[in-house]
Amino acid sequence: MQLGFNWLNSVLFKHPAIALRPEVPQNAITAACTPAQPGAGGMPSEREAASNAAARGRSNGMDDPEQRWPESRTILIRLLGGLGLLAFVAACVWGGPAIAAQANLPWWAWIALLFVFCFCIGIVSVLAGVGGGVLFVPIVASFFPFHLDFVRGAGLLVALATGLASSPGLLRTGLASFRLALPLGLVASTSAIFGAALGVSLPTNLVQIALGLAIFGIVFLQWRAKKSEHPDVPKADALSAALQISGIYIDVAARKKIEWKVHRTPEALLVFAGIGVVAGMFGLGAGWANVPALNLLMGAPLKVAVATSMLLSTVVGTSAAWVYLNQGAVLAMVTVPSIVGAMLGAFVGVRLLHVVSANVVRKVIILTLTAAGFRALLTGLGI
Amino acid sequence: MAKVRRFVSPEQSAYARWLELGVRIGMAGLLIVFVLYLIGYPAAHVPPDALPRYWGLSAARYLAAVGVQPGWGWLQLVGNGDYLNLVGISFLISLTMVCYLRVLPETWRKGDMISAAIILLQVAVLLFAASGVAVFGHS
Repeated sequence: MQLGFNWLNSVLFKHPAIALRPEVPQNAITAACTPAQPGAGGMPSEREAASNAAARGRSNGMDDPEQRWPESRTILIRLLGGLGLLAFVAACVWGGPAIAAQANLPWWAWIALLFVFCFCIGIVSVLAGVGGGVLFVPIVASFFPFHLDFVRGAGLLVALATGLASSPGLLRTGLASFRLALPLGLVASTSAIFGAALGVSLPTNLVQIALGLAIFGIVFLQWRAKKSEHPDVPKADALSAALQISGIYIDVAARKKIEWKVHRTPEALLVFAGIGVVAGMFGLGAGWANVPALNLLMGAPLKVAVATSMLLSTVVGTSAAWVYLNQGAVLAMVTVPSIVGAMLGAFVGVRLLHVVSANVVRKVIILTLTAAGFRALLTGLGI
Repeated sequence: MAKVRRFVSPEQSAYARWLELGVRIGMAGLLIVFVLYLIGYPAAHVPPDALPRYWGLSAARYLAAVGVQPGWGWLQLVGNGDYLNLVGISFLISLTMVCYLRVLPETWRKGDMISAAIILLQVAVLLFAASGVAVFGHS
């Protein structure tokens, strides 16, 4: 595994589903804010431009004939993928727990399966642009013999580890804003403790029913929420002005400095209180809701919203994870392979971005989550 | 990079530096300890082949079944491979608090009292979460 974890940051720059720009070398960021002097560190010279174009070609796989996939292979992959998905959804809705209960596998086979499964979740979560925790909890709870408590504990730690690994790079480039995360993190992490304590205390069937309903809410959010790269914020609200929440980042693709500010901070604090409860209660992490709240409600630019969401998920995940750890809901044998599998999967997912349609994956995720939501609801109702 | 740094506050840079170092140490340590756990050194409190009997139980029942106290009771068992892993996990969970404490003096020195107060409150919240007090009962 790459120790620097910079590959996780590259997810945020390459991801088509969240409309971010292709990854650009760090020196290009520096070049973007210097005066236009061809070949002298400002606008690129012809050779640099050609080199950049070639790099973009390699990155999206469109210009290089060797990178193109034969059409027949694409159709076959889609057909197999569609059939596999249908089988998965059917198993998820009707047979998940039965499969888990009847499969008389040795412990190491379950752990190996969990590792492979988390590796796949890591890939898919990158391709679809959703947090790993939101996929991990409902699906692992459906197919694996672990109690929901251990699944939620591991889910939170998967989301936390991903956020921890990617935050340093995002903070350093100025895309993640520590100031923006400060008040929101305080509110969300406080409510996450409440959510986690509630989740550990409530009867499992009640939590399953609530999880099913929460998953339906997340599916609706993923399906309906639009994204805005640079929302219009006419005036910062009084609270965000007092907290000095504003910033500047370099948009490499547009070659300009973007100054941003936010509004509706009081409303956002209320929303983040709710996000914290759900994140803590179900071990889903907070990534599924942070971006819409930061981008659409507060008006943070999309890149800032995505990056700050990663930082926020570390704060929210931290407070809830302590509760799960203290209540004995963290099993090393479940948690560590999940973290490692998801991180390795995300590493591979970055490299698959150019051959898989993010839009298709997004639809697959919505369908899968709907099935997992039904499964959680049915399990909770004892059906 | 220097141009980018111009837009990043010293506190944010310091937070990033400490977090990165912590994640590297934490992830490397976690992997090493987990591999040792898999090969049986040191011996686990609950051997891996016995885990399938317990992992279907709720957390509260699991703790009762294996004789571990909730809260920080697991610290008494860190000599065992399975609970030694929780040290690595706790290290990763603690990183956010450590990084907040790292930036507190600089924020204070700058006279940014609102941010300093939020940081102090955040640390208090995380300490409260870590204390094990936050629980309503068991399912």
